[in-house]
Amino acid sequence: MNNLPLLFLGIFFTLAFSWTGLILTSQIQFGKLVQTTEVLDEEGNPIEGDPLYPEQIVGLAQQGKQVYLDLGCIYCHSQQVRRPGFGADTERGWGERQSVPRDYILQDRVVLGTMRTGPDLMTIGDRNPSDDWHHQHFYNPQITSPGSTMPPYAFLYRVQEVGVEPHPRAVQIPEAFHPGEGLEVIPTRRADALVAYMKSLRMGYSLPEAPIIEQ
Amino acid sequence: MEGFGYILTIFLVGAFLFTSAVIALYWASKNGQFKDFEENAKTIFDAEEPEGLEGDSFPDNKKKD
Amino acid sequence: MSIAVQTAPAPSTGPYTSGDEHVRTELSKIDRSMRGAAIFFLISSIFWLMAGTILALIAAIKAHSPDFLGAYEFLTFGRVRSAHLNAMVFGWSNNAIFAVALWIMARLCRNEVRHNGMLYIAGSIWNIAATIGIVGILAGHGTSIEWLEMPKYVTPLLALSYALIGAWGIMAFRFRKGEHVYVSQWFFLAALFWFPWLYTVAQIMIVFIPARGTVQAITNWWFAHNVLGLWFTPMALGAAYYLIPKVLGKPIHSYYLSVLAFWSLALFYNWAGVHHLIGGPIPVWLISAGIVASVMMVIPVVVTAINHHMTVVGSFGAVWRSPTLRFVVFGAMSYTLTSLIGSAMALRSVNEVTHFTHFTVGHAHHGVYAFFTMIMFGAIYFMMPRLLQREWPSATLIHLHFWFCAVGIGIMVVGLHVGGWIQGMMMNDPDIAFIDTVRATVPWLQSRSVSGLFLTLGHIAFAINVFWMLLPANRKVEGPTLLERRKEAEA
Repeated sequence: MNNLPLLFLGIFFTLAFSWTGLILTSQIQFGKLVQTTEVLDEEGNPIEGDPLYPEQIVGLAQQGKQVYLDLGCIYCHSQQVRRPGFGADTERGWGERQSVPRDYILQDRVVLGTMRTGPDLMTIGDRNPSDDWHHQHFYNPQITSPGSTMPPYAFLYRVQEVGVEPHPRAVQIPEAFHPGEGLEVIPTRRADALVAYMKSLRMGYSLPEAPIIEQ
Repeated sequence: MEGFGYILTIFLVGAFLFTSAVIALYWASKNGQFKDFEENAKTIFDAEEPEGLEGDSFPDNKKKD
Repeated sequence: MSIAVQTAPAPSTGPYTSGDEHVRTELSKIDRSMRGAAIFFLISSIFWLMAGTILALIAAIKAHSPDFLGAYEFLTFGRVRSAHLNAMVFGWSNNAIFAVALWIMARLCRNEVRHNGMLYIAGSIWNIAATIGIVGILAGHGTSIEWLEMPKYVTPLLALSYALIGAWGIMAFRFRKGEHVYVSQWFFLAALFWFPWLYTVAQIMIVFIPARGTVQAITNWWFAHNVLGLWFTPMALGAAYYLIPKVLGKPIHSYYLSVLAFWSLALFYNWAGVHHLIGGPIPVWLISAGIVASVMMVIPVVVTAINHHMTVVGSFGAVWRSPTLRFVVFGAMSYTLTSLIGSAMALRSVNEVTHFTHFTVGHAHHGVYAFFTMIMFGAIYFMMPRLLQREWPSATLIHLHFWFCAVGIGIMVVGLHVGGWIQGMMMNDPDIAFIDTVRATVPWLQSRSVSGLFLTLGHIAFAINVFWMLLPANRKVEGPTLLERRKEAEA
């Protein structure tokens, strides 16, 4: 039993080690990643004048991220693309390449998600850039995706009586889901922000460590 | 995100707790906590709730007696 | 092994059976000194259990019938689900831990507790903070960080409250009279250290000074998984290591193994959390480390399983007779099963299917409910008669509680595991339209709602029994079985 204290000291050390190993090390390894260009020059430096990726989302889309957080979208939607061959992410058209740490460096809150009750949203802006589709889908998911279990977000829309002229921004709602004759559905600012955020979720660029390989 | 101050904060929290853990461990071994497992397993029993006595039963059992 | 049988092993006896008034006093005095604070935490925990159950039911129904209460923003799925999780984790579980673990700690320290005022203040702050936090989530101030959803304005309150409780626990330990530190005390004490460590680091690195990119996600899962592994698990295992031998009246099968289990848990569990990010945008070596640790968890689990089950083998009659043991053994069996499934889920080939599906949700409930919560229920059945010196008013309600909960959680775990597996297999087949994976899960999600009804009924039975027991009118009428037996023996 004489070696027990030594053994236990080692075990306690390992406990602190898990934090050092998992978090501190990864912070040091890739916590300082910066934007870069799609390809690097011969010396491994970003090419001057080329656009830098990932892009910072700004303005309305940034506000939409806040809506995404406060409604808890993360509990059904992930934002990560796994490599081809592991799962069917690329086959499903969720991204042309796997997502890598650098893709997330400009997000003040990273929402990778652990659930795919609904589809992955890493590239939803590439896949579906239509305002109308998103507004209809948020107002009542059954309009665009019959059988979906996504909750309706009708509370992000204002239902009002049609004035002298129909509101220019009224959402087109099919008969079966329409709130009624003489009424129209207008997106609130939060709905607009959420749609802007959806459209900002794009990953159509290459990164040096994760190039998109043309088929 | 100012790398250094931030790592330092975390490091200090970690170091404090880690030190506490080491002290606890040192004390434990010095105190003889890792000796005589057979006897120590019985330290939970005392005169009031002695070994060999079942400590819990459904309340209606008394009616069946 | 020689067990000194001091009393004939009577088939049914309660606590406080010793006829000698003098020897009864020590333990009874400790119980009495702890009574107020423990009951306070217990009542809080039961209120949270009921609140969490209602939120759970709403969330469960919404998961397959999205129009249910669909017009209310504050009850949208993403918020109700998080409110449920936080009500159960910070409300029910932590209050139950404070009641059970601190009481067992006090008993093992063999000293009357002092400064209970600290606990009342800390408990009040804790519950106020949890309430604000959950209302905050429903109001849309949630952080969307899994297991850390509460808005950051409650963090200081929770931290302050926890500091008081942790300090109290350490003080109780410091002024103990017992020579030996029993393995349960190791578990409790370590967990009391681990939890603030985890919570502080996670809050700083994700909420207050966010780390860059996916380091946040790594920190998140390091935290979330360790809340299970280094907070709930040691608390429940510590309670089990105390309760099983106490109820059976015989020491644990192998005390050496229990110490080994403790240290191997401390060694492996804290690395395992990254398995929630398998395939994700983090370095592969991190994921591999997480997988190795997850598989190594088989060691403490098997060691604990051998120990718990070997202690109980040969005493199945007692499991049947004792409400405490029934719940605790159910919990211990679930621990073995859920942990082994958890290790398997960390393997890449299995994870490829189960990741992102309801399988994980089922697994979480398997751990937190079938293991942790059931052990807490068992501990409460053991604790209350000793604190109040009163018998449980209704055996029928205990039976109802057990069977509703056991069947309910059984349905949920099976339903979500099967449904989740089907969902995962379909999702990995790109020829199947995504919407079909959603439709395929609906019947299984409905089975979860049914299981929720069972659990609700079980919890109602439990709550009625507890509050009935607390009624002052009950004090004289229902003499504790235990005390009556003593009188009979004396006569």
